[in-house]
Amino acid sequence: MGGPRAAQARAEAPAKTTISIFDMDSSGCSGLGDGRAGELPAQDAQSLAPGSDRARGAERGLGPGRSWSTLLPTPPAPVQGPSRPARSGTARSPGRSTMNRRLLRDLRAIVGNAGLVVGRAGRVPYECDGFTFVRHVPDLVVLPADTAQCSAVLTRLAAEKLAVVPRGAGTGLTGGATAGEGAVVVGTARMNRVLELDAVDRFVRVGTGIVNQDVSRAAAPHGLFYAPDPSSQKACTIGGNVANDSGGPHCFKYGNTKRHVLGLVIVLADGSVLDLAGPELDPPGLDLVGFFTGGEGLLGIATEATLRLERIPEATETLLAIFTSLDAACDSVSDAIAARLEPSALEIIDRLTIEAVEASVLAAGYPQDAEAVLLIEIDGSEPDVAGMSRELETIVRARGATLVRRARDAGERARLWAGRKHSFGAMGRLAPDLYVADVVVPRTRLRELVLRSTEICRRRGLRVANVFHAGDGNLHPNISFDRRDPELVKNVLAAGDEIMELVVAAGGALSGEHGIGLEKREQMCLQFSDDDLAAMARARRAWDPEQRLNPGKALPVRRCIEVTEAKLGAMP
Amino acid sequence: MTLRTEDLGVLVERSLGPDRVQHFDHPWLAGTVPMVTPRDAGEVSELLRLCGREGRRVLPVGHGSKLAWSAPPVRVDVALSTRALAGVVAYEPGDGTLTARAGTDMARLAEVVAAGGHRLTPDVPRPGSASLGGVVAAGQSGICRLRLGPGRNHVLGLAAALGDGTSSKSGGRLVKNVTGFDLHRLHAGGKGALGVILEVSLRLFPMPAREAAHSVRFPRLATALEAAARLRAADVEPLALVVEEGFGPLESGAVLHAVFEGRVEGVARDLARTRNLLGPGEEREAGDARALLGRLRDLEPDAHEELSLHVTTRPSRLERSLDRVLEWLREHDHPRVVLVHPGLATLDVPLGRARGLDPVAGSALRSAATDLRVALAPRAQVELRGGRLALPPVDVPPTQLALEQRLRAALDPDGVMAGDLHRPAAD
Repeated sequence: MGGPRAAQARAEAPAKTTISIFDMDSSGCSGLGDGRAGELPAQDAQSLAPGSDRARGAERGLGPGRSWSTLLPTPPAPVQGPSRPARSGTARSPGRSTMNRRLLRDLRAIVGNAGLVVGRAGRVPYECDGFTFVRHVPDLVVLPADTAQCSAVLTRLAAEKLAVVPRGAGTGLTGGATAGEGAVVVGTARMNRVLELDAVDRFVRVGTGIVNQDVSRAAAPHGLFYAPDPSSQKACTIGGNVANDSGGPHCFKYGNTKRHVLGLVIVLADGSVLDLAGPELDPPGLDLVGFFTGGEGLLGIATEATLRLERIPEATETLLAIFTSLDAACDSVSDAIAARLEPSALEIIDRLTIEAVEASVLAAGYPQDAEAVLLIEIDGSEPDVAGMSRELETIVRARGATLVRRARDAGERARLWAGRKHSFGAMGRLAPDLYVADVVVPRTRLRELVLRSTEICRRRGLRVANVFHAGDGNLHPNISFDRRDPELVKNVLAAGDEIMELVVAAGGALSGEHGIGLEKREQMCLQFSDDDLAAMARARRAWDPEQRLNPGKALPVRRCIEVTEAKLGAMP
Repeated sequence: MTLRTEDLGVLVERSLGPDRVQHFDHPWLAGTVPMVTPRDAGEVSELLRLCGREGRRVLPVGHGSKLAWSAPPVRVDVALSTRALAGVVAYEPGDGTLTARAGTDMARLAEVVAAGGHRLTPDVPRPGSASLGGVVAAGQSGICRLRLGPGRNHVLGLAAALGDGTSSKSGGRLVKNVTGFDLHRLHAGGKGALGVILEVSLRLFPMPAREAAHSVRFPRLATALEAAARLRAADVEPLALVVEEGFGPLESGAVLHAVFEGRVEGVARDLARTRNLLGPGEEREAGDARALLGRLRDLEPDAHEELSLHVTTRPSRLERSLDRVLEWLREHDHPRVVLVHPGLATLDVPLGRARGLDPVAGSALRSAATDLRVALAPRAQVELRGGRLALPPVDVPPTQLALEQRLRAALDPDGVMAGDLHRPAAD
């Protein structure tokens, strides 16, 4: 057993050591030269600061020769799927020549010193996203300040046929923002302003580098909010949310990002600008905005987003139901769905997660003797909230909840949610590293598939903690490990493969909100046929004919038959 | 239009078997074209490949009720009926999802899911003569859009045969899923320009515990719209908010209908607030409220039979756009019959029968609608629906046009699909 990724890890050759031409250039051609990412916006700088969780993850990297680095494409960019190869202009690595000095000079002229991160120390924080198995320090990071700059940057990079990796705050969990050799990272972090807010028509137009939570903050004085709320919402950007069609606990009621994007301004790979800014309901033509959202940065770089705002609900109630078994918590969720009850969030947190949260500085007051808690939030009109709350309490009690606590005020509600939203961080107490799986199962089979995915981990001797969006059937088995142990890493990845195989066979899906990125691209063959994947690759090439944007992500780089053969070959 | 029925018949019979070619007669096409009704996905692919080899253009057709929303294509050689691709594939009451074949009637699907306690969305006009594939391809959203969102949001996944006959699946049957590129978002509203939709999975909504409506007659349309704006600003959540003028008996003024559904307590509260805001009116409950919702839904003009204007703007621009439309109706001696969805900022204006329209009158109407569109741009989009009069979209940015052309070339490399997205009308 073990799946294609474990096989890949076993067969792997040491990673190439690359000396970046831009390191050399930076010493002699710029006044920046000190490698500082000094002009990074505060929130990005904070999330990447030395000592932060992400930076610590980066420091602990797998090191040369350790698995996964071969997932990153080396130029030329791989041909996607079984379809015909790109005819011209595949991405390539920058050569050592005066061309690079010219390129740097031209880019500096476009974005200024503030928009170029040239020195190595400044680029190191961009070597990975939340998927820290794969790291590579990009040769260059460019941070345009607006659509015009982004267009000029991509036009210039297109002339050099360089691969481009779009990046928001780098909080993704699948390696989608990690650059391969020779690729230039283009970050949206400086495009972080609210451009227009219309309280009558209930929309906001923002630069895509804005942090998710700041959108709701801007809308709050108008009695409005932006619904999608990923756990990383204090750091993640709207651009990254759009690329991944991100979710969050309250997407059970409100839906993932795609349902909230009314329009986009997108810079295509050749630098041309696609203005689909909205917010009109049904603009003529194909739903390009809907297709782009969730495109994982392979289709273009969104620089502006027009987002639907919701009215802040009249009433909100948060319940914490305490169970002596995880199965019972799962069953109560299935019962709630079957009873057609639609609160705004239904989140399950298991015992191991509770222990980690309660031992952290963000202790939420979850009972430590519980096997699982179900965090329920209901919002809407006061009578609806009161009625649904009663019905849900009846359901959870019928399934054996020993106690149902109601948050008495906003402070207690915030504490209960802080525990949930920081649970991934709290698991740092269990082990230095965390593998966050993200799969979706039919909600009628919640209990069975949570149990079976947990059994997979236990059988492999792994510590797994479950904290997940139960209402959507979106599971997050989180496996704690230490990346310094290569055998353990292989075991973790193999467990992830097994879980994916399990849920897809049961009618589930590979991802509910994190996307595919590097992590799951070969597992796409579990869910889709070669024809399905070829059609997706064809559509991708319509957007980016040279396939220079985020190469090697989201779609398998081999035909499914090759993936299957590799997997069979790896079986003992 | 190229009509080589005999040749085509021979080829089709060679591929699919005898007696497979009928005739499709639709006023939108101004003629008859051969029609083939594949019995399964394999036959759809076979027919598309055959047409690709023979250089024929294929038009996918369900009931044909929304073809006249668009301008007729330059050329149609074969109509591909999806009517035999019918039936429910999977209804999962415990998961709130439905998967059905494209040729299934929406009315039939609504019945199936109602038995399991769900309501089908989109809830479209005349569901007995609307197929699932046609509704999705047309990008229809139905009467519940204000509360439940656009129809494309409810499409969880889709299987299609692309223009070159290859099969393509995206999304799935789960309520949450971001795996792979969402090709179904291109097919939804894509007017059959990329391929033939074979099967669709939809997210369902719970059947409400209570349905109710509050309707108030206002002396003037403008007053009804002001009242709707007050209601929209208040903390109530109608399923549908509709203003109608001129549809019913010859009474003056306009009627604002607020239709509610949901939990018993919430509907009671919303009704009470609505009464306070709008004053007394006619109230309906349960079956009566449902019947009203159905009547309002079906007021949307049937493009098969009727000419109409469809205007889309933003709520804050609705009043100004409506004033200009009313002025236009007066200038052109059209009766003042208007259907407004204030929360969505859309207007529908019936303009008379589509069948038997005098070509000179049709041309004059088209020209007048074009003038209106120019007058309202860029504040509003204006579509002319019905007959063969549909206006091509305007102001589509060149970058968008070029990208859509590349997408079409990618998914329909031989140009088999007849549907056009932005092409000027044929006549």
